[in-house]
Amino acid sequence: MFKKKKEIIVTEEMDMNTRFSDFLRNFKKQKTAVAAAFVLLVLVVIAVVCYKVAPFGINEYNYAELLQGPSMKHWFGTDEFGRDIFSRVLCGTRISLSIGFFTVTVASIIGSVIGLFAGYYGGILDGIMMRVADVLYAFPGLILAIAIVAILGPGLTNVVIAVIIFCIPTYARLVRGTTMQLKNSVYVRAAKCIGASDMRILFKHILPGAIPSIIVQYSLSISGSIMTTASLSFLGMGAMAPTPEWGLMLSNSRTYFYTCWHYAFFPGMAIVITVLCFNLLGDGLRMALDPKLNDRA
Amino acid sequence: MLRYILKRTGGILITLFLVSIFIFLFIRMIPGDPARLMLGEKATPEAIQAITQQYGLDKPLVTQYVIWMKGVLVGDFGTSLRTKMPVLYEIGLRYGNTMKLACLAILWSVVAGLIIGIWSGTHASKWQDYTGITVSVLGQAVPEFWIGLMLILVFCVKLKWFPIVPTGTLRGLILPAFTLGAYMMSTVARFTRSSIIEALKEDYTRTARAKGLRERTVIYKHVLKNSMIPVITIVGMQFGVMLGGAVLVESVFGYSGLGLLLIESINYRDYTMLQTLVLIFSLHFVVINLLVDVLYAVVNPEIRLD
Amino acid sequence: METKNILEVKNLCTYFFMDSGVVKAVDGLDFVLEEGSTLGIVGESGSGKSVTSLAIMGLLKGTTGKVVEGEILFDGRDIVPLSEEERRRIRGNEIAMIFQEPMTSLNPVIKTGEQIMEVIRLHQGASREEAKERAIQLLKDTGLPRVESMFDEYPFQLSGGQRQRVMIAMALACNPKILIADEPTTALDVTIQAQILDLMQRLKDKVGTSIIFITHSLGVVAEVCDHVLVMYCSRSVEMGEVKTIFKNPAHPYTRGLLASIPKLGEHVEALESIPGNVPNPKFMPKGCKFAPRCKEAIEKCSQMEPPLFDLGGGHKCRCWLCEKEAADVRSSGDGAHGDCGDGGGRTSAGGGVNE
Repeated sequence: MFKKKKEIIVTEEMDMNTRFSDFLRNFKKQKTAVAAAFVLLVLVVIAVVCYKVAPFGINEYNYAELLQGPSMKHWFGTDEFGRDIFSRVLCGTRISLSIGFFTVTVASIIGSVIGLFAGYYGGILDGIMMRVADVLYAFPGLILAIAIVAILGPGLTNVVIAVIIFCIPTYARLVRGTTMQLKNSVYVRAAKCIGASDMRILFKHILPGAIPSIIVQYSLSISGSIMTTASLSFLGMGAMAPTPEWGLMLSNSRTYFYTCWHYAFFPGMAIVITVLCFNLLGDGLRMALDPKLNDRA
Repeated sequence: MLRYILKRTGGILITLFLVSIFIFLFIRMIPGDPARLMLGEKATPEAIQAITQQYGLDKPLVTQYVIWMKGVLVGDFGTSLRTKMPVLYEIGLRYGNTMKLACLAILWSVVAGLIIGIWSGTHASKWQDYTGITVSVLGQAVPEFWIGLMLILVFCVKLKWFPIVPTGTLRGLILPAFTLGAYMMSTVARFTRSSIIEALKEDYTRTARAKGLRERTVIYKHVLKNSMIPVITIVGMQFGVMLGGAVLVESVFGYSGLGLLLIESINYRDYTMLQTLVLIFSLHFVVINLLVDVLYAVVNPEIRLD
Repeated sequence: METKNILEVKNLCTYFFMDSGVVKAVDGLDFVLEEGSTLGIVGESGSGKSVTSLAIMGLLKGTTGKVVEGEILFDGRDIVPLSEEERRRIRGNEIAMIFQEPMTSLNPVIKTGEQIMEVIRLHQGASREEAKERAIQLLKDTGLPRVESMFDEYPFQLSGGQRQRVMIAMALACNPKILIADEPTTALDVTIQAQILDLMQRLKDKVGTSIIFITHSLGVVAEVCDHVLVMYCSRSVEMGEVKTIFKNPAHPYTRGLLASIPKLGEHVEALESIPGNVPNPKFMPKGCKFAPRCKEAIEKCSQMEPPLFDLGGGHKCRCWLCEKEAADVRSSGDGAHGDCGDGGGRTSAGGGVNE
């Protein structure tokens, strides 16, 4: 009897390894997701080297060339201060990506821990946590972030805080669900039988089971985070001038919009491409982790 | 069914109660004297005294909440710090505009999303499907404010088909509603598609085909009815995203609705207005979700008859 | 005694075209179904028995499967080349089917009665009232209680056995000439199983339909079938009358299946089982597909696949061990259909089949 249980544990853990190679193989089949991952890699590289490779400084004023259309010198044209939009869009990559990764990393860690404890211990703790999540969910999408920033005051730091708060409930719910499923699984019960501590069970046995769905959500949340940051900046609550933030650039472009299309076009395209790639990557990851979902969009 | 609705309504009342506490505490979390905050830097000591009295700002938090809540329940949300008019009056002026915009956006996005989703799902892995997927993937990646700007550029500035500043007319609403619904449309299309593909694999679909039913009957009678159940849920969840989107869209088009009012009240630090607006937004979101739950039960006999 | 064949399947090949390659789900299958009789198709999961039924129904559209070769003669007419519209008119009307999973085979959001009426109205052009009357009669025939109220209920309000009765009523709604039952009792409790089998027998006699009974249980075959076809890895390995097969099973696989049925009143230490598993369709053995699991395999078995040997009296077997017997049959009788792979099960040669 005991021997059999041990076998189960072994196979479950072996399963993790084979699942990873299965995952890689399945992921490679998702052509669009692989392409998206590649583009994202390029974006990360750009984010790292942007200030070195940008042809102009982000705050290099040139009053001789105000609001000029795209040319060989200024690929994406210039803005109302004669700054090179291409350079600014390039450097905006660093801002958007770092905010995206930072907010979602923090939110996923906090949310997952909350979810793990709430799901595993249940009871009052679970009740309170899930009520708080319910309340946060009762605020429609962006409104919560707007309200938080309205209270904390505008600025990128406060946007980051708002986005983190905004993302936490998603992870808490996700991980709580998996935890509640896994805590009754055979291998967790077996681990309890051999006297593993709660912490060991939580982080060694249950958390790995939740990792796949966290990864998928991670990718999708980053696109949400980038979009929210840009939206808040567009509304004048996020990045402050002269930061080369994409949403802020779009917001500024509105004044000159009727005469120069390029000012609004290129920063917007940057957002679209980044968000698109994170979404496609997330979809690809989901399909690779659960091939049964293959036909799900 | 009645029990189900009552249960859901009860849950929602609890959530709304917690939401009100949350909003109440939120405003009071701002450092500084709330009365001064509400009235601004130049407020006279008399005015501050009056506000302190009115809202009982010197009393314990619980009492303050009760005073506020008493007002809310009889429709007294206070006075706008910016216009000195009752908050509800200001909101009333803009409410219809946002509703018109949101309804039009929901209408087109759900109809178009369903058509694209059904089209995609029933032609899985064919060109129709790939077209549908491309449209919906793009629709989910493009920020509302950018589509709005680009649409204005093309249709108002270049082609001059629509007025640049939206009037209350249907013509003026087309571009904002299109912009606002784009994301919802994509989501509905994606969910409809995957839901149909799932339903097509089900045993009951095979049974329907084995009966010799026409493919059209199989899809529109047997498959669609089942696949609509998850789609309804997603429409409710997306409604929240849409309310957030309304803020952006109204801002882009300069459309005078609740979203624009929200932005203005933030810029003017009009906290009474802000607090009421946030409450109204979440009230709408929560109520819509309740309606969606009811609709869900209507479509799904297993819940309706339970 | 010459009976009419309501269905003749000749050299049926149904392949599935997957990304990873072609899977031959049914590969050169021949059998006949006599009018008014019941044919059992037996085999493990994956042997191609369900795919055969889907091919006969014309329900492979929408999957990656396709009938690539062969004929399906229904009432003397080949239905494979027919248009989708013509196939549709046959489906549910002249050839009907009952599926394995009663729990999921009924549409959860459509009322039970409507699901039966639908078929009647479609194929018989009946009015709503006529269809309702007929549907209620059909439900009563299946022995369901409180039929009138059940008519307006949804499938989730019925039990598994009740749902399967509804499925049977639905399948028999248009008095089909052929009823294909794909493991109709597998998902049900044992007592319900027996009731459903009884019901099918009774209705078969009443409607005069012929049945193809797909199952993995030889016990069920013994109970309800006249003829049996044993399938293994996309091919038929043995066929004949139920009596013959049960008395003189010629193929080691059939013998294995028979040995694994518990017998009443016999005390055995352990039931016999066939060692090993069905081979992966991607790595099919070269010779006889059963050879790797066969206790009686000879050298020839792993080199060349045996043809279907005729053992006389409609009894055929795909096994090299039968080669000699088959030769005896051929030389003694008129042996008109001695050749392998022939569709007919009508050899007139009596020829005593001896062990």
